[in-house]
Amino acid sequence: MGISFMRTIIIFALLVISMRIMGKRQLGELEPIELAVAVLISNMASQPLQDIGTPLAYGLVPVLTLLACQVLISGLTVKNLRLRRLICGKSSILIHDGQIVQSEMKKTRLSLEELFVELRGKDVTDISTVKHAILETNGKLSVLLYPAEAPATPKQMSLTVDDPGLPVTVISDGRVLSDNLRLMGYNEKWLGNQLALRKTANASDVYLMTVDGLGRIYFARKEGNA
Amino acid sequence: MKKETFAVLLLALLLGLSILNAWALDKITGRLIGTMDACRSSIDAENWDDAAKQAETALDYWGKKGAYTHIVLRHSEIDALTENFYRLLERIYSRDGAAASCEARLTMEALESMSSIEKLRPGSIF
Repeated sequence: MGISFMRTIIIFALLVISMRIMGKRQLGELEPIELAVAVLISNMASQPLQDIGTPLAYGLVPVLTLLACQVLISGLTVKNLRLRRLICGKSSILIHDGQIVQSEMKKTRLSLEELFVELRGKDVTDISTVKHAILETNGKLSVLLYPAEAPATPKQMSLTVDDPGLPVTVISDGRVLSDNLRLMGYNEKWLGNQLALRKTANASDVYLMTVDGLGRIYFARKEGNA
Repeated sequence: MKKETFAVLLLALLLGLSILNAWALDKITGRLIGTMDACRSSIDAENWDDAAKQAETALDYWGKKGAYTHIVLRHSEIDALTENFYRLLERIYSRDGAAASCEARLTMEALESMSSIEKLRPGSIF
């Protein structure tokens, strides 16, 4: 029991470090090789946990080897395009200039139903509005609509739009984030005034308060503190 | 580039440790095979006291290497070999020449297999 506990702690620490070194991609964005490595690592790491008769080294060595290979390959593929194509494959253009490229559909073994599912996932229900659709190497579909079908941008409509910047949290669950407050150019006095304007005595009564670059405030009081 | 250098160094370290482990295991099993060979000769000569001494020495040496072997070998393999040693001693104490000789041979085979499995050869890898 104690052995399992200690081994789990060690393997957990190793996996956290490994995943941290490997990068921040989400599971759905993994390249095929990254998915294979993630599956292999989890499988290898679990073996000494399931059987205490298996030395921990039998889990550590494969995990470290896979980690090193993954880091090395991902580094090399960034520098070498040919190696990247060899290992990660290349994107497939499924719709080109509004025409479905049937040969690519066959090559990628993607059915029309699956293509429609992916398009609907991109809020596209009419395939005739699509100029280009590209199946990326991570399995995601990138869709480019005809200019006439794409949502108009303020620039296209010659409108001037204020940039509010990124809203920054200054109070989170009753806790004042002083660094964020200063980052936005405010201080505790300003915060006290804002709270008073909202008839709130303490920051501890606030669930969330954010402020953006234009000084716009989002304020949510904690439930039960009306 | 730092990460790639770290990866190359890590791979080199792991390969180095694997080679070192194969060498260390070969040394341990080689010594035990030598002792077992001497034990078998004593069994064939019906020199039971010497055969028992050789087998006990081998068992003692195997036990002393437990801290290392438990890190690099499956515990089932370690237990199987320990059982082999005790079975051999049992045959020697009961002075069953044919069975003892066979048991010594079996132990040597197990030791050879244990060593060869860790060596980086196509047969071990595939």
